[in-house]
Parts: sequence; C-alpha cells; structure tokens
Amino acid sequence: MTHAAVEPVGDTGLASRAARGDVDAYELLVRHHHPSCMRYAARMLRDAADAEDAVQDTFMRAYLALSRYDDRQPFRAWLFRILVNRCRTLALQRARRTRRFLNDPVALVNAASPAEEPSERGDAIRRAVDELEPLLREAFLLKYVEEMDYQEMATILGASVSALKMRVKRACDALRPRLREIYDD
Amino acid sequence: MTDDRDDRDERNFQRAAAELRTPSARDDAALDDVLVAIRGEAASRFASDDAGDPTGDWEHARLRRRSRRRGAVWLVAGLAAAVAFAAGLGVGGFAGWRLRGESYRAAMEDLGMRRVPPVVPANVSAGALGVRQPVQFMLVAPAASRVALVGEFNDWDPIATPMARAPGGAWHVALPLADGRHVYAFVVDGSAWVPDPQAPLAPERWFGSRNSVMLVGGGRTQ
Repeated sequence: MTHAAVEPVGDTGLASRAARGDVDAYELLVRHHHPSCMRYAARMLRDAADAEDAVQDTFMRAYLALSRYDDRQPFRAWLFRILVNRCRTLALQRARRTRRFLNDPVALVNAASPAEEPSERGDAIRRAVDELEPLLREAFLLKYVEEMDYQEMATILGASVSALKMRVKRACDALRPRLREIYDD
Repeated sequence: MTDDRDDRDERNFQRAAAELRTPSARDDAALDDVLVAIRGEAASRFASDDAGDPTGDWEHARLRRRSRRRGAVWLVAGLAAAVAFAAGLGVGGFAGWRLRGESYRAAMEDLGMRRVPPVVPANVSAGALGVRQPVQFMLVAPAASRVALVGEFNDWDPIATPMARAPGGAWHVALPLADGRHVYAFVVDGSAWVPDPQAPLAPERWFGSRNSVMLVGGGRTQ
C-alpha cells in the first residue's frame, strides 16, 4: 500500500513548498497577502507609488529568504515584519528626498498626482489616519485594519504588548474626535 | 450614556477600518508587477541554477519597477541597441528604424552575419515576404547574463524565447512572425524589462511598462 505525500495546507505549508522551489505555491501566498500589504504600505507611506515599491520589495525579499523562514511563526507575521521595516526605511529615505525637493518649484509642479481616492468620507478618514504619528499609525493599522492580536503585533513591531496597547489607545484618542465629525456623531 | 458613546466610538473605529480596507484601483496592476517579478526571479534561478548572491537579481527587479513607474531610463550596462530585420531578404529602404554606425556593424560581425543583406525592419512589403517571416531580434548588452524576448506572440512569457549570446555581447533570436503589428520588449537577467531603444514605443502599457512596437508587412506602428 502506498501513501501519497500529504502536503501541509495553509500559509506555512505553502511557504514550505515555495522554499523547495514551487513558485506556484509562492504565487498563492502573494495573492493572499498582497491586499493587506498594499493597504498597510499605502497608509504608512501615504503614497501609492512608494507603497507599490515597498510591497514588491517585500515579496521579493521574502521569496529570496524563504529558506530562512522558521515555520514555527506565522507566515503573515514574518512577511509583515519585512514590510514594516521596508516602510520605515522608505519613509526615512523619502523624508530626505522631500526636504531636497521642497525648494524646487519645478519638481513640485511636475509631481505626479496622488492616487485617486474613492470618496470624500474615505478621503477624510485617510487624512485623519495619515496625520497620526508613525508609531501610532502602524499600531492602529495592524490592530483595527488587519485585525491582528497584540501578540502578533508584538512579533512584527518588536515592541511589548503593553507598549502596543498604549499606542493603539493613543491612536484612538487622536482619531476619536475626527471620526465623530466624519460620521456626524 | 458613557457606554453608548464608547460603543459609538468603537463603531466609528471599525467603520474607518472598513473604509481603509477598500482596495485601490491600482492594486491589480501592482499585484501583476509582483507576480511578474517573482516569476522572472524563479525563471532566472531555474535557468542558471545560480547559487551565488541573489541580491543582484533582486536589485534588477527593483530597478525594473522604478524604471517603469517613475519613467526613468533603465540602462543596460554597456551599449544597448536592438534591430529587427527580415532574415535573408534584400529589401532596402524603409521608413522605420534601424541600428546605425559602428555599434550595429560590430554586433553583426560578432554574430557572423556579414553576408546578411541590408537591415530591414518590420515594415517591409508583405507581398514579398509572405505571411510568417523569420524576424531577427538583437540586443547588445555585454553585461547581461541572460536575455529573453517577450511579446504578445509568446504571451509575455520570459521563459519562452531565450536569446543566444554571441561574442561581443550581442544577444539574438529569430522568430517567425505573422504580418501585422507586434508589441515586444527584452527581459534582461530575468527581471529587467527593456524596450527596444531603436524602435518606437508602443502607446499601450503592459503591467505598467513601456514596450516597443514593430510592424511586419507594412502599416502604422501607432
């Protein structure tokens, strides 16, 4: 009697298959996690083009590092840890770039328009979140938008659970009045 | 009362989070970019079985992305030039494009094609050439380790049509193409998409990148 090899399912199984050279398995992982990576990067970087760069870099780096992935931790946490670092690095680089461009009227006139936003209310919400300090913004996004628990957030952000709870609370404190205005409360 | 307000605030946070989950119109194209880059990387690994430092390939993917989305010019190390011509046909004079000067002559000599008649781009007479004529593509890219031709004719598959390297760094491949308009590009080192610098750019974009356009059998490129 023969037994067919049973492949593990889910992210961890796909990551294991991808590490063994199964690019189709990695494509499934990309398709599954791309939307959450995009919305996180878009809000952290506040620029659609930079977000696309960060996300592509993240998936490529993860692909090249699959052999080092420890399947005892969730794939999403491992992936987001890369993404968070890419966003932080790009934000720093952009800050320098922006300072250089501030006194360049030609560059400002020719700058690409930001990505179109679907609604006025959505625009207002995005502005409110974008104005949060980066540490508060990343905590709010992971907690509320990606619906992660604090333990997973701690793995990704490298902060303690108590520190992250405080960041989420401060983010909510800052957003509360803005959202009441937006939702006419 | 306070509980009501807390509930309403919590509901507001959830509604805001739901709004932030709305996909952007650009997400599908961005996903395509990622998948193409990953497939290119996987193909190059498979093709070369290269166990060396992978950061070089990743760097190409990153550069490709920048070049497409920022409109920057991606430079293949060394001279990059390309030409399409109908092999073995002595048709001269055309209104399209061709390589000129020493670069072209040197590349042709490297390819051992000194006897090939004058270069003819795609817009040669259809009647004289038949329906599916071999078209030679060439890219001079001495620093590249692999180059492939992609286009509508091979479903933009970076594995389907690898190009051969001749001494001097000229990469070439001949492909029978039907008469008509063809959009194409070169994929250098598995991930960097390079339009033909000697050919017109196609107005349409695939995965956000600019490609080149050629005509086989006459007509307009635009």
